[in-house]
Amino acid sequence: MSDSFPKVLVSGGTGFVGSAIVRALAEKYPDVAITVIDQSPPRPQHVLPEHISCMQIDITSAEAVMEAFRATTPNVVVHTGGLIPGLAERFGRQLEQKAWKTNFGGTRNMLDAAQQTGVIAFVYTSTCCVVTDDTSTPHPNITEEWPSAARSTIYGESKAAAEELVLKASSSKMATCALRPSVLCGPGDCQLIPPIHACIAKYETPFLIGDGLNLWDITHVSNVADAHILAIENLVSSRTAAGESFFIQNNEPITFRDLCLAIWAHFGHIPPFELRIPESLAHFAGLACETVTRVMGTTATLSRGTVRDACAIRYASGEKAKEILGYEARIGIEEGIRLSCEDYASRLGVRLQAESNTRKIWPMHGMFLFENVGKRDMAHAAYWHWASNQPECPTQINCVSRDLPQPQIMARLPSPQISPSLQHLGSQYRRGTPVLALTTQRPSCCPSHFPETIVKPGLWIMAAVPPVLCLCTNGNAHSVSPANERAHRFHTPSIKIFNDTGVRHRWFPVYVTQLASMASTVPRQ
Amino acid sequence: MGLLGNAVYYTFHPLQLRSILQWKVWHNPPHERNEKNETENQKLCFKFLDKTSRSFSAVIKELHPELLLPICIFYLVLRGLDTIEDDTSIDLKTKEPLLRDFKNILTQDGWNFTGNRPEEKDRELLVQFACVVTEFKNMKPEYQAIIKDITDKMGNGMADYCVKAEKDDASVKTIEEYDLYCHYVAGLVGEGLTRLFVEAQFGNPALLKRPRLHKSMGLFLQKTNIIRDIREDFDDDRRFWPKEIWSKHVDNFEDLFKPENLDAALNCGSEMVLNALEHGEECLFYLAGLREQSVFNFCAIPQAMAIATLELCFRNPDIFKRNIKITKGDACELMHQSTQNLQVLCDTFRRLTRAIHKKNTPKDPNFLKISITCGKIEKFIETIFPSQSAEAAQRKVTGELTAAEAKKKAEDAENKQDIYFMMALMGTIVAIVAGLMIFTAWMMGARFDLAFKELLNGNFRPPPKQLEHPEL
Repeated sequence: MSDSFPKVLVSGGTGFVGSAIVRALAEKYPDVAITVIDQSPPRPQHVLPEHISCMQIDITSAEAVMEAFRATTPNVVVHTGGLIPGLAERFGRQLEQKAWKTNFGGTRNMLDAAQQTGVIAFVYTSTCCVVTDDTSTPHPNITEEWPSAARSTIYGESKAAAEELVLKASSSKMATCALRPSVLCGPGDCQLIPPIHACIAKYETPFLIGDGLNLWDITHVSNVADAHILAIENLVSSRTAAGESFFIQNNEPITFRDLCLAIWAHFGHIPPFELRIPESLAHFAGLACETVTRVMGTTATLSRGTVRDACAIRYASGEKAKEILGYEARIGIEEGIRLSCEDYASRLGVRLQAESNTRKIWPMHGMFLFENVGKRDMAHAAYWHWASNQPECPTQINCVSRDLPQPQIMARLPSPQISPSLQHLGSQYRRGTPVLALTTQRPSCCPSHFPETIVKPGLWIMAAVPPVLCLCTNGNAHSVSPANERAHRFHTPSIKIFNDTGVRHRWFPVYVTQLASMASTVPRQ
Repeated sequence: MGLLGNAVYYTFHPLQLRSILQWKVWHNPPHERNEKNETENQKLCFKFLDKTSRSFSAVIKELHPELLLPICIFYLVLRGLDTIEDDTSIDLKTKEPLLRDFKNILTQDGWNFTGNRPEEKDRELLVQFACVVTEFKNMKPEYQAIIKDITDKMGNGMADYCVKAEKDDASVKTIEEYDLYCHYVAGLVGEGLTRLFVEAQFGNPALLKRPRLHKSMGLFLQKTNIIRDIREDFDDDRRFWPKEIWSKHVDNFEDLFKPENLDAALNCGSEMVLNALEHGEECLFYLAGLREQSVFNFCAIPQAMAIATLELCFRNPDIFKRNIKITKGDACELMHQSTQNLQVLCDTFRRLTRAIHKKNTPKDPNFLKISITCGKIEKFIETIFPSQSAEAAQRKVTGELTAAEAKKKAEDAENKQDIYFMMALMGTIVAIVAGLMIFTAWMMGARFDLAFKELLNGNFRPPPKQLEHPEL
């Protein structure tokens, strides 16, 4: 498919969402030339793959944008760049002009340039805020039929206007669509987890504003990146998404309170008690805070806006995106929140109370015990065990350590008996579920959707398409480079265990990267 | 609890009493069994139904006449199977062929079984099983085929289980085995009932195309019972909680009941509840496919009871100490709510899901998973009964009004006008009366000019009365 779009331009590509899109795109379409335009140079927390050209361009300047388009002549444009006001300014109007200039004016510049240089597909990263920032009404299970809010926040208003511009521009020459992600989490996030985490230090965690029943959609950033790639694929082929907007989220709404509690729990904090504050009272407190901060000239943490936000119901139906784009979240929200917290902890230099440090995988059917999966010791290990004819006995465990120069098998137990389990695994997992199997014997009954790869003689990888980060389909792992390996290095090891009853624990990205890098060096037998 | 105990209890729990009374007074069965037209044999079957099940007989007897007898017989057949399987005094050699062949027994006139030990509580049913056989043969052949098929599957499932129990231990290890076990004891009943409903055209045929739905109905009920009965089962040396779940929390199953492991036990219990709750969404989906009120009631009541029981058991340390049950008042309230329509039932589901959610704590390793599952149920309810439609939101933005709203607005305006008119009228009358009085006073010589002058000078009171000149 990548023949139809050899060149892609991503605006805002050094940002949180943009860099995730670039990584996902580079991984799935290694032959596509990607150009990133952004007003800031690549940032350390948002790692980009190698071989990406970055241009430092301010999208509010029509000439500069035009120049970039002329220079790169992209076929596909992903317009992610925009201004997201921080929490302090989000509900105010101080940045109104700037927000409009970037979000609306910038989009207009991008669209004009795209139309004049023969771009065939234009994907706009909108936001669910175009609808949900109107906090005067609840937004339960909203669909794309809901109207954009006429009066919401500066961000919601400017993005809504820009989205309308983009969707109207859809034509037979250039198909456009808009994706509306919900609140995001993920590695590199600085909008969601940090302010919630900050409540711990401020002793704010026991206070629950409102009834604590309001559901929110939260999305892991890599899922949003997936949606963008699906949108590109659609717009360059069937074009059923042309002129449409889509809500993109994990489709696992949880209450805002639970999101906070889960984040705090990752940082080892559980509120000692809970005090409910009625929304109306909090509203007045917010008003008081706003007045005080206005007089003192500081920035507000509590405001009427944040109170309304925390009490808002905002979740969307994912039906349209599923139906037209075929989008489904690959990383579940529980894992997404964990990954985000781990990433943020490492940025803070905090050591999480990682349950993985003294993880016990309880004696199970085909049991084994594994303890002390530390951060820096033999951390990054993956296991695979096959249930043999005698249950209660693991036949094989393969461990791979990151700290060794080459991944190697640390332990191997005798008598691998593969076939029954593999077949079972194949029947249990749908296409698209990240699954990786590791074995030392050529599988006799590899299910058809498990492309196999030999990593080195005697060690086989089979992955259901596509694994979390690296796809080893035909013996070549294209996208492995030091840069993106770094991007996917999570500091607490996570392990996924397969046994004949299904997946127990966590998926383990680093491991896949390394195996994939091995795969590229070892010739296929 | 004696009469006195009850009286004291309900004095302090008037809401419970209210629920019971409401149910007794207001519940109108959609159909009532007509005993006059029944044969002696049928009466005997219903007698056994009452004897073998208290909870089910009431709902079965309110079923539509078309399905009344078939479901009653279906129940008795399964009860018969169960009685053979449960009886540990029958040896495997007798038991296995009986179970596997039970589907053929259904058509053998006069068949009965006297091999049960005397203390088996439903022994009598098998002794007089001929009455069930007679009724079975009188049924429509379509119904017969369905019941026969389920009996076959279940009989074989039970036989397999007995063989496995005899050979090696039959305790439930993996979640998959747990699901399979529940499928045999409850999921198959769900399948049979669904086929009966669809055959009688009381259910949407699409229900059969999604076998997951009726499977979930059965599994949800069975899993709830397994969670609730943990203590009772443990005392009887039965273990249905899968090792795959409890082994994550404690090393030995017995440890769940030790007070020092309470936290681990609660977390284990909540993982079991999570496992059951995952069926909640599909149960509601299934109930949406039923077309007849009595059938809906028949399916909805147990589901509502199940989610209430889950709510009761969730993070409740008592389940490891004794057998707990929802109160009679709550049960009546639930029955009342689950015999209306799907929307009322959904409200009940949402209320109880939120109650579960409220008890969830971040100390639990499955905290977020439970939260997500609760959120999913709520989202699903919102999908079938949206609280606000896109059109309404659209109108809110454009400021457009619906016909009803426009009418209401016009009415309001009219009412307002009426009120203004009345006030004007009153004002006029007051003015006329006051005018008349002032005129009369003036005619009689009142000096308003002097009064005004005094007022302007600030004398708001009449001057103090001067003393009369004393008599000189």
